[in-house]
Amino acid sequence: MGLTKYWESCKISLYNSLVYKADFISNSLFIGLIIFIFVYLWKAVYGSGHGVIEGFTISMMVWYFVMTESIVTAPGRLIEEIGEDVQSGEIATKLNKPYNSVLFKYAYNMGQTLLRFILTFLVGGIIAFLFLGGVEINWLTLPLVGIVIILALTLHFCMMMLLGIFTFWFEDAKALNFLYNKIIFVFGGMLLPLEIFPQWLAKISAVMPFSFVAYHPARLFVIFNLNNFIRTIFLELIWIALFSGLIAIFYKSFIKKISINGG
Amino acid sequence: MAAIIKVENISKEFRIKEKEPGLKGSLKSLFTSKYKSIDAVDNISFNVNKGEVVGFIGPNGAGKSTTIKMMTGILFPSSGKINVINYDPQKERKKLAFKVGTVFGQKPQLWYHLPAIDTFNLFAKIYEIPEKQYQQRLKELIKTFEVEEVINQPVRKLSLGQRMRCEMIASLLHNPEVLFLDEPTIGMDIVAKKRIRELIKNLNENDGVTVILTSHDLEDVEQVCKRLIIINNGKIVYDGSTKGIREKYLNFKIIQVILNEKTESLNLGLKNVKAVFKGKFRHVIEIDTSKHPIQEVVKKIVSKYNVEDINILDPPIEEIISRIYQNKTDHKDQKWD
Amino acid sequence: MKQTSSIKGHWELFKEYVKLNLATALEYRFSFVVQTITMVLNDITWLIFWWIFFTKFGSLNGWQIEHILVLYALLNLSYGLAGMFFGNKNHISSMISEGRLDFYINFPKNILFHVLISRSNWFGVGDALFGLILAAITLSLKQWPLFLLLTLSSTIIFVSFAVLAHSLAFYFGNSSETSRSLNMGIVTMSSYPSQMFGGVAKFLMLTVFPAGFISGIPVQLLYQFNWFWLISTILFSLMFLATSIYFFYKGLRKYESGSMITSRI
Repeated sequence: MGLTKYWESCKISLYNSLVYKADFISNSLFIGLIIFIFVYLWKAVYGSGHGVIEGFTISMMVWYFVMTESIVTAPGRLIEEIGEDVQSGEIATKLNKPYNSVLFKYAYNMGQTLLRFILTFLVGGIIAFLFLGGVEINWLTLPLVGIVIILALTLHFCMMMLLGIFTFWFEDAKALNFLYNKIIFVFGGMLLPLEIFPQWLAKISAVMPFSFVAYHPARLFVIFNLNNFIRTIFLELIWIALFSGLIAIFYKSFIKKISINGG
Repeated sequence: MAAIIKVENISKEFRIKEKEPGLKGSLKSLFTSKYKSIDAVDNISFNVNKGEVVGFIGPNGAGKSTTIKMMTGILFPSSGKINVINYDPQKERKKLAFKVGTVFGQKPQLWYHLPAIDTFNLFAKIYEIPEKQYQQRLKELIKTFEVEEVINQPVRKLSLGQRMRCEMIASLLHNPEVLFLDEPTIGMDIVAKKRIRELIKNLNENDGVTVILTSHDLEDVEQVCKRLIIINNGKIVYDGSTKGIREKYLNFKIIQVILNEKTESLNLGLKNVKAVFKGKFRHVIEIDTSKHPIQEVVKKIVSKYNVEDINILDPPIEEIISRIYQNKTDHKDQKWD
Repeated sequence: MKQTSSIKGHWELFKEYVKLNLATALEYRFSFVVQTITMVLNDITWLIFWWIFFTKFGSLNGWQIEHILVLYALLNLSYGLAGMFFGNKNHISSMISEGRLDFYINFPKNILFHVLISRSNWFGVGDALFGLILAAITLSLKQWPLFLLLTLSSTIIFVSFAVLAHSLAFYFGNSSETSRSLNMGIVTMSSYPSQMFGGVAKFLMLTVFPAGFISGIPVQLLYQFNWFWLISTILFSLMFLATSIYFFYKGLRKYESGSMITSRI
């Protein structure tokens, strides 16, 4: 037993998401469109005489964006999903089952998340490749970047889970989802790498947890550097630990509230 | 009498998608889609005269809603001709809409979060009813339907019966000549059902409104409609008087008996009695009432056995339909009046 | 009883729906306010993105931050208005697949018009207000008449595009996801300077995916007026509207009233 139930949960979510092929196809089309827009945006910028901007060539810039986009959009509308469970009290009915609800949700979600990550990366990668060709990558470092990405997705999950639990007090999950996403878009460095930011803003954004979801992993993907790698993993783990602690605290107080109100 | 509704040889075909079960099926459906077509309505014809109340019954998915939806212009028939109050519902939808009212039991038209009166005002605008005329009509309807106390409460707070009465008012504001009611009593308790049936009857008798009603509750139809059309698998299997069906096909009843002592089987010594279920204490039999009056059978049971409980039931509608079907295939040329 | 469905009758209906929708929104004041604030915050984050971008690069194919501000003013106002008054546009496909068009077909009013006005997205208020404020900051008084005219044509294109995208459900069953993505696509595409695109993309943006007519050309017109493009934009919006109406009614013949649809595309 032990961890196998979580693995099963992960598998079921994979099957389940295959049923929703419309979501999948239209989702990848939409992501394809955004990457397509950014290809043109960067072409316009680099076209006016820049060869390398802050260490990024144009293809590095586009591949950077493909990576951030793939990570950030991978969990889908997780906050809304958790919000529904929380507000309907359904999460409480799952309490008497012999598993940790949060971990179970993590496993369930990771199945879909990884699948979506791969799909987006493929779609985006094809577009980037067609317009700009490949990017120079040291294949040996890819497994290391892989670890950073998994941790980034985990941190992403933790923050979304926390916000999902918050919907118990602040009911509008959609609004929370929207705002969280926008913060990652801009301050997490999904749209633009922090090198483009004014220095003061870059410094603040670099230490915030949001940039460990998007900027740091994607930068390691296009420009690998061992020191940065170690530093990123270390800080990712710290943020994950911190958010897990917060989830534990708020989850407990949420459970208490429901058992008092009877769900 | 003049026919107000003429339906000639209409059919409606739907395409449905098929998916194989399991992961393999899901993967397959990513690339290909298989369709199957189904005749929801298959070459149906009938006329309805002004002032009639006609009940459509049949099991779920038999095609009764589809037929009604074609008559009101919601669906386009795959083939055939329809004429309602001298309009073609598909081509002259707007003109027709001024003269018919529709109530769909499963698709409420009232605004859920607002009081019913708000929806009435909206409908008055939709039908362009002059203000004075509207107020007068509304007053009448509110009185007839006895909803004075509830029209100012948000609809979500009303009971099903109250809601349906308000739904009906909404559809009657513009004085329609024909009223289509699709499952108006669905989900209601017996008291509420009875109210709705009485209201429909009055509407027909006092105002001369022609009513087309569908239901899968046989009682609805028996109490309200003089004429009955039974639809099964997209075909009309019976079109005639409600009385007639009782005489022809409802000549059998189901009796359920619960005994105080264990008994192998009920032995009444009657010829036209069929055992449907044999339990230790519970027994269900079916009797032909034209051969043995129900009193006779009940008397016999009570005198012969120690009875805890006894129930007399109408056979389920599916049962009647299958009987009609059997009959129909037996004498193919028989015409149903 | 007068048995017409005149323009006046439709106008009365429109007013009645605005009233009812407002009443419903007021029943849910809190979430209405939250949604409005969210929308404005969302717009502000995008402006921060462009501010970072232009601080670093100065200009993009001749566009500066002020062009972006005008673009956002126009986009927000027209999208907000489309949502406020024709809020049902984003629900048409699910209404088709769940059979909820029945209601409208049984009324003596124009079906498409009636469907569109019968629901309101009140968070469109947030977008519209934000658009107006941005316009007030960036535009001179002389530019306003043209700005409002162009806003109107963009609103028409937004609504027509939604009708087209959601009418796919007549042909493919439940298409809500695809229709929604297409809609998100056109909004996204419209929120970038259209001058940076070229080739096939430019062609699509001036035809089936008319983001160019929604924002790029109007912004250009506000800075460099040109009769040809003004007339083209207005003609295009009307033609696009006509196409969407045609497509909707053609699909309506296939409407199944939710009877038989079992799965999604």
